[in-house]
Parts: sequence; C-alpha cells; structure tokens
Amino acid sequence: MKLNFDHMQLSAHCESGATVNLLGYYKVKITEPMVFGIGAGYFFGHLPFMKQNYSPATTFRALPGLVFSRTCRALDVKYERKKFSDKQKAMDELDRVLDSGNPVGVQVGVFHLPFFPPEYRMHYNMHNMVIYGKENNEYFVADSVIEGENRISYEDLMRVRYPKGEFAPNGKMYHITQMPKDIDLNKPVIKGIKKSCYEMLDIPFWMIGVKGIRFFAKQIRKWPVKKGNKVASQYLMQSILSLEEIGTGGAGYRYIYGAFLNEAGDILKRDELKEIAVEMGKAGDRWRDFSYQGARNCKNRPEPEFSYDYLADIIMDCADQEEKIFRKLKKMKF
Amino acid sequence: MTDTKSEKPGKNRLVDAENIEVDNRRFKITHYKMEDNGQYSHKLASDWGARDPVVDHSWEIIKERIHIAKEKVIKGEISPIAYYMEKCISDVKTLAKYVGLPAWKVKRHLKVKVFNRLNNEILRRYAEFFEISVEELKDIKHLEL
Repeated sequence: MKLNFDHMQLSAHCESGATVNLLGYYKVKITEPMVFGIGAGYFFGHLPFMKQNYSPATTFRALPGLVFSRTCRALDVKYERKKFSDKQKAMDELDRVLDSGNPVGVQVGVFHLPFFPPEYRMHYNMHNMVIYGKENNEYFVADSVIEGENRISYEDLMRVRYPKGEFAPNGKMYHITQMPKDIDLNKPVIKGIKKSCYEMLDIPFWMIGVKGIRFFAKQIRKWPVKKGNKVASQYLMQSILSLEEIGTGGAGYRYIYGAFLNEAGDILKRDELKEIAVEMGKAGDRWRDFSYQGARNCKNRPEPEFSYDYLADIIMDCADQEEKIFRKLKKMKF
Repeated sequence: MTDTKSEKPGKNRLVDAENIEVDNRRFKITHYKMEDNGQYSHKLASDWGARDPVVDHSWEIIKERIHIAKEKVIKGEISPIAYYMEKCISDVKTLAKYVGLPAWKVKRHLKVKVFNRLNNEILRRYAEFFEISVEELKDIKHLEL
C-alpha cells in the first residue's frame, strides 16, 4: 500500500521538512521556516567535550525531536512518539501505523542509509524522514533533503533505525494521531519566538546561546596556540561543516529564521518583525563571511590565510548582532 | 569509483572512504537567501559559495588518517581493527557501541598482541560491522597490495 504523498516539499532542515510533510498529508499548508520558527529550532551551542569527527561539536539546532514535538503541541496536534528496544517490534509497529493510513516519521542514522550522498554518510544519527508506503518488502521514503522518490528495503530500514553512537535513535518513530479542527498560527508563532529568545539569552550555561557564541569565538582564538595550525584548521572545517553543510539552509539556520520572522510579520501584521528579519539576514551574512574566509584556511597551508583572531572577531560581531536581535524580540509586546 | 549503494546494490554497502571521490555538483540541497529588498527566497543549489575546499579537506583528513593506520598495520605496530575502524569513519567510542563491548576493551584490541589472542566470536562481531569476513580481517598481507 502507498499513501498519497504528492505534496512532498523539499527543505533544508530534515526535521522541519519531515514535520512539514507529515502535516501536509493532513492538508495543512505550512512552510518550512514557519515550522522551524514555531518549533524554536534556532539554537547555538559549542560543546568542546563532545567530539564530532575528532573535533569539538558545534551545533546550531535544537535537540532532535524537539522541532516536531513543539510544533505539534503549539498547533494542538496530537501525536504519538515511540522508541523500541526490540527491532522486530519497531518494524511491526511501523507496518501497523502505515496500514492504518498514517505516514510515519522516523529518526535514522545516515551511515548505512543507501540513497544518501556518500560524502555525507558519517556516523550522524539525527536524520529524519517520512515513510509513506510499503510494497513487496520495500518502503517508500519521503526524504525532504533528497530529491526524487526513494525506496529502502526492509533490512536496510531496520539497520538505519538502529545505529549506534551519539544520539542513537533506538527506532524512534512518530506519527500524528489527531488533528484540530482549524489551525491558527498567531499564538504558536509568538510562543516560538519567546522560546527562542529564552534559549538564546537566558539559559544559564556558558556554552549555549549568545554566551555560547562568545565562548566559541574565544575558543577559536585558542586553537592555533594550543593545538597548532593543522588541528586548528581541522576544527575550523568541522565547525564550518555544521554551519553550512548539514541541512542548515545556509549560515547555520540564520536565513531560515529570517524567513520565519518575515512570514511572522505578515501573520501578526507587525512591521517591526520584518525589520528584525532583515537584521537577521545581515547576521546570517556575517556568519557566511566567517565560512567563506574560514574555508580559505581549510586548504593545506603552512600558514593560515586569515588569522584566527580575525575569524574570532567576525564571530564576536555575530554574537553582538544576535544579542541585539533577540533583546528586541524579547521586548516586543504581542 | 565504488561509492554509493544505490549504484551498486548488493554486498558491499558501506562507503569506501579510502577511495571516495566527492562529486561536488551531483547533490543539491535547499539554500535560503535574503534578497536585497529584505524578502527571503530559497532554491536548490549544490554549493553555497565555498563548499569544495571544506568538504575536500574533511575527506583529506579522513583519508590521511586511514593511510597512516594502514602503514602502521603493515609494519605490525597496531592491529587491523584500527585500520578498518578508520575506514568506517568511526572512532573507538562508536565502534565499541556497534560491537557491544566497553570502549577500553576495544582500545586494547587495537594492540597486535591482544588481537592475535581474540576468539572467533569477538572477531565475528568486528567483521560484521566492517562488512568483511573474519579471514579478511585477520589477513594483513592483502593490505600491502
């Protein structure tokens, strides 16, 4: 059986994309930035104790699963989310939900994912996709990041649902059980903005939010001194990868969030939000500068082309801009 | 070039990290952008401006690491597990989770002396993750080719 899934939208961020596609099946027209904003996916964290590819982890997104659950809760959509310790049960439950006529979102690891581009197939366990049908031991997959119709075999799906390592999903699957009568975006948008403000400004931990960006800048200054140029360029490369490459839509979700603020301005009929959206775009451009110039350092050179102090200054500038943006958002009365 | 599973269905389903050639123009993802008038747009693109050096550099580092491990294995300084571990782009922590052993044990298995004493069951678990046979895992000579 195969559900009607011709509304699939491509998107930059896999989890927002999965949420958009799931909601789209129930005839909700919503864009990716909107979901990302309502789910408060905007985040920053620089966590040197967590290693990604032998480099300190930098994250620009909220924890996996949050965007979906927050969006659903804000929109008053009932959903069900499960994890399984038993692989067989996980697959049986997936079949059962599919048979009842609901598409299912699954969190998978990309290392064994067959249709994924080879250069991205690292041990990364936070990819989300939607399964919408089964035919002869093969599942139909709507992967919002990859173009075209994809299929995956039963064995492969079981394997990618049970990867190991950091953030192992343990067969996590989610689906929508009940839709509200009508969807009103006003309140969820406000809630999403407030949540992002809290996460960027008020979490009392120095590696997270705007403080985290400043911390990141300070760390960048230390890299060449402590670790030498070679390791520093590796660390820099990893942070640029997570800034630009892994489904961020450019500049670490800053452009997506700008698009969200712009759209929110239309929905709430507030022109200030549109102005802030422009500022957000400028902050995104600044992050882009960082990645452009950092990329020059990523070639094998004995001496870096741009000094790390210079790059750190750009990041500091980003932090200032973002702090300004979120202080403004926080002060706004809705 | 043997990279994707989709092109080559069947047995070897892992990315061959050692010989990967990244095709920077094949895969397109959505990129958002702010236009000059303050409106946002998005389009599919394979590049955001400076993708190539970053992605290339990331693979260079991995390839270099694999190469170093291979040399060491051939010289007999570390066990083949270390080489295959790098080949599967994993580290001790991830590998330990996949084979179901504590990390300190996996670390010990990287020593040649300990590796030679390992029993078949443990070797099978490693081989399963590396997608090779136990004989292939034990055989160092074919790496020299």
